[in-house]
Amino acid sequence: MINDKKKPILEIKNLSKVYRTKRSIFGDSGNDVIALDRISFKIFEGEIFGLVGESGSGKTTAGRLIVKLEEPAEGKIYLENVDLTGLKGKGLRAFRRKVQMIFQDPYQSLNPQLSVLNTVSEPLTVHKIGNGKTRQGLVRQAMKSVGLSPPDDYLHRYPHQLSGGQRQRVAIARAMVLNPRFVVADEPTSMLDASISAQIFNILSDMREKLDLTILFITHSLAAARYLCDRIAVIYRGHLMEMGPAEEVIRNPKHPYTQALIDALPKFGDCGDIKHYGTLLRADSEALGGAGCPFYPRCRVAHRTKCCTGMPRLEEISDSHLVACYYALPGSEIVTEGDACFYAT
Amino acid sequence: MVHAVKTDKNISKRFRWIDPFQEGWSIFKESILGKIGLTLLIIFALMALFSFIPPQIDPMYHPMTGVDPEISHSTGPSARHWLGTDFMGRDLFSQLLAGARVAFMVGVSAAFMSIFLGTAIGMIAGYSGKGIDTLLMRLADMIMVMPTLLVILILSSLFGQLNIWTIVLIIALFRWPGVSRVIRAQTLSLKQRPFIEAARVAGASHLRIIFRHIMPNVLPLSFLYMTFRVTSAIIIEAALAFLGFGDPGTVSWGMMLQWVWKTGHMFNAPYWLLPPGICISLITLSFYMLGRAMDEVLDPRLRKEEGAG
Repeated sequence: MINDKKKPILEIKNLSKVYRTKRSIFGDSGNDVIALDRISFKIFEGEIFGLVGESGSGKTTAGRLIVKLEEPAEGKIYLENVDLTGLKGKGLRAFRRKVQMIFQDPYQSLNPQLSVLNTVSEPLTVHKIGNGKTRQGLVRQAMKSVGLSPPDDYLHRYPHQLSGGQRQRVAIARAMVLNPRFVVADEPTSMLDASISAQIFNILSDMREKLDLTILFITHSLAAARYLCDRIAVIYRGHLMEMGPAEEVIRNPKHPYTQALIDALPKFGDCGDIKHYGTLLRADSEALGGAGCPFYPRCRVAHRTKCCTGMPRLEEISDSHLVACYYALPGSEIVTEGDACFYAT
Repeated sequence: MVHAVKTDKNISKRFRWIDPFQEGWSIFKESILGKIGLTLLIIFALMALFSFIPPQIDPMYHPMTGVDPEISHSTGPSARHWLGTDFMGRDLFSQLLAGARVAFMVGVSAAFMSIFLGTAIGMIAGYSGKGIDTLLMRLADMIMVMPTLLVILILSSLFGQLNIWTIVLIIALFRWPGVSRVIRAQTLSLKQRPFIEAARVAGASHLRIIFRHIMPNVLPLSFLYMTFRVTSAIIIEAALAFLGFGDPGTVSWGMMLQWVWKTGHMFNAPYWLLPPGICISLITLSFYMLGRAMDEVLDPRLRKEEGAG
C-alpha cells in the first residue's frame, strides 16, 4: 500500500469537540452538541486523506480544529510530533506557516475590499517573507500554479470581478503561496459546478506532487473522495465509522453507513448490475439515548440489543481497513433480505 | 497591440482604488435627493468660502466688529447692505456668510470626531467581544440616554461661556454611541465571515485583522453616519447659540437668531430673522438628503430596480 513506508505528519488522538448551548439562569442544562466524539486517526506524509460525511457530521469541525480556528474540548493533535494544544507565540507562528486552509465558499472567503495581489500576498506579508518585489514574484508563481495565467491579468482585480472558479483558485493560491506542509481543504468545490470542480481537484493533485504536500480533503461526496484521495475516513455524527484506502472503502465497504452513502450516489440507467446494500432505514426508529452506535436509529441491519448498548470500536478487519461495526468483523456477515433495490429508491 | 494592453493595465492599476467611488457616483447621480442635497451643499460651501471677502472690501463688513458708521439701528435691505443691518449697524449678509463657515466647521469637525470615536469603539467592542464588549456598550447606552443639549447647557452654566471648539468636542463626545452600535453590529457579522478566518489561518494578528480586513468594510457605513451626525451637530450648535450659550466670539446662524430675539426684532425685522432660519433648515436638509442618497449607494436593496422583468 501507499502508506507502508511513510511516517505520519498529523496525528489525532481522542479528539472531542462539544458546542455548548446557552444555559438558562435556572441551571437546567441546554442540549450540548457533540460535534466530535473521541476520534483518532493519522495522516501520512504526502497523501491526500479524505474525510467524508454528511452535513453536521463534524467533518468541518475536525478541519477547523486542525488549523486551530477552534480549540478541542479534549484530545490532542500532533503535527510533525508537535502538540498543537496551547501553542502560542513563536510556535504558533511557525505552525501558521506550515498549515493552511482552503475554505468552502469562495464567495465568502475572499475580502471584497482587497485585490487579488493583496489577498494572495497577505500570508507573505504577515510572515515577513521577502520584500515587495520578491513577494510579487512569489504571488505570480503561486497564481500560475493554480492556473490563473497570465497572472498580470488578475493581480489587480477584485473578487467581484472574478468567477467562482477563479475565486477558488485565488483562495488556493493564497493557501499555497507560503509553501505549506499541510493543507486542509474544506469542501473546496461544493459551491462550484462539476467541470470546475474537476479542474480544482487536478490543481490540488498537482500541488501535492509539486510541493510534497499533505492534504486533508473534507467532502460530502464519495465520488470526489474516490477521485482525489489515497485514503478515506467516513465520519457520522462525530464518530469515525470506516477508514481505509479509497478504492478499498468504496469497492468493498463494510460499514452499513458507508454502504448507505454509496447507495445514495446518483446513478444513471437501471440499477440492475449495480450492487445495492439497502442498509438505510427509510424512517428513523426511536432516538438513541445511551451509548450505542450513532447509526443505530437509521441502520436496517442493526441488532436490537447489541447495537444500542455499546459503540463498536474501530477495528482493523483487513490490511489498513478499519471499521466500527459489530457486523463487519470477520465471521459476522450482514444479512440483507428482500429486494434491496426497494430500499435504495 | 502590446501597447494597448500595457495602457489598459496602467489604467486598471492607477484607478483601482477610485473604481468603487466612480461606481458609487454613477448610482448617486441617479438619485434626485442626492442631486438636490449636493447642489444645496455646494451653495453653502461657496457661501462659507466667500465669507472671507466682505471684510476685505471694507472693514465695516466685518461680521463681528464691523459697524456701519452711518447706521445705529436695524435697517432693511439696501444696495449698501444686501440683507440689511442688525441693531448696531453690522452687515447681515456678511454675518450670514460667516455663519455658513461656522456651520461647516462645527458640523464637519464634530461629526468627524464622533465618527472616529464611534468607529474605533464599535470595532473594538465587536471584535473583542465578551467583557470589553459589554463594558463599552453599557457605556454607550449610558451616554446615549443623556440629552446632549441639556448636558451642554448645564456645563456651560457651570463653566461660563464655552469656546466653540469646546462645544464641538462635547457634541462629539456625546454623539458617538449611535455610530458605535452600528459599527459593532457590522463588525460582529464580519467577524464570522470566512475571509476573517482565512486571515487568521494565514497568521494575521488581531490588529492586522481589524485594520486590514474589518475597517475597509465598515468605513463606508461610518461615512454614511457622518452625514447624519453633521446634521445633528449643526442643530445642537444652533440651539445652544439661540439659547444664549454659544461662543460669543463667533457669528453663527444660531447667534444671529439670538440677537434678533434678544433685541426684540422678532416680528418687525423678517429680513433679519428669516435668512439664518432658512439656512439652518436647508443645510441640515441637504446633509440629510446627501446621507439618504449615500445610503442608496451603499445598500443595494434600496436601489430602484432597473427594468428587471
